[in-house]
Amino acid sequence: MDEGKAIALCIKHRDPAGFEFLFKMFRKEAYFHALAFLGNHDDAVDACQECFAKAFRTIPKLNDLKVFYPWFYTILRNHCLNILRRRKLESNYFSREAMFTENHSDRSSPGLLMEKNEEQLKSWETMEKLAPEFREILIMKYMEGLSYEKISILLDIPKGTVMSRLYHVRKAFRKEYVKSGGELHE
Amino acid sequence: MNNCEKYHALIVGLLDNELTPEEIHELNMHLNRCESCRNEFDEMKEISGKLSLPSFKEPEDEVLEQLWKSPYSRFTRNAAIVMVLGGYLCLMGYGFYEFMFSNKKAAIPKVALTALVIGFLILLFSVIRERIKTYQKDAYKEVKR
Repeated sequence: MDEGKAIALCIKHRDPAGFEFLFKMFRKEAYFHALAFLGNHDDAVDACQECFAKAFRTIPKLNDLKVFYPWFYTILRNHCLNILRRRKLESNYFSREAMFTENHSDRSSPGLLMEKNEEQLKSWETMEKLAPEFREILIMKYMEGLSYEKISILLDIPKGTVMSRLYHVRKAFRKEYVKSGGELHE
Repeated sequence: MNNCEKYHALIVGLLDNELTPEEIHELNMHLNRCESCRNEFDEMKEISGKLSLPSFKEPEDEVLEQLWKSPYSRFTRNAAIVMVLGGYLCLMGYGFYEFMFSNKKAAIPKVALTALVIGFLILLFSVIRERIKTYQKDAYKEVKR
């Protein structure tokens, strides 16, 4: 079976075997993306469970779908952004101080990361202070090493927009890095 | 300056090795005559070294398996639970009926069993009532896990 056949099985025959194939193909990618947004294992697992279940319910209603993951990523992305919005509202509600600081409560545990040196950890901490939309593209490019082409498909934006968004992300990253005491010159 | 915005994006593309030869040529031409963009290039290059982010740890297979439950396995598991529980309750009910209404059994065990069943039902009722009361007062019931 390949991706196209699996999608056809889901859409035309409502066969869960097709979805199972797609799930196995993309589950790790989905988990990493949810982890990048939400910053902790439990929330990432919950988000994936909900989104895969939602995708399974919705996919037979689609008339045409060429590739699975960009479509699924839209579901996952919206779900994660909603969670982050809710978290922010809750933290603002429960802590008045949060309204006056740029405190981000969605910090990842460094335990989720592979071997890292001090400098990488500093970069990671800087990245976590950026807005989720910035973190998303930064991780896609500089952690997963995706090409502009792949990023433009996943985010459904032109390649030129990927480039200009990365320019603004780098600017924001630089500002945050310097602000948190990072040395740019070795 | 507005014209330079296009080149700012191209600078990032150059540093990420994503430009076509034509775009590289165009950018180089611009950099030769625009000092502001040269400064921008230096800034962007400076931060490039700090963008090597560590990867996430590989998740174990059990973690990945949790991410979606196939409806087949869900259906099978639920059907099995219903069958096991249904069979168990039928047997219990039948045993209870036989024991209580059989003339061969002595009265004392029947009374003891009745007391056990009534006690169990009272306990169950009080736990459920307590749970409902707590739930109604729970300030966090709207908070999703």
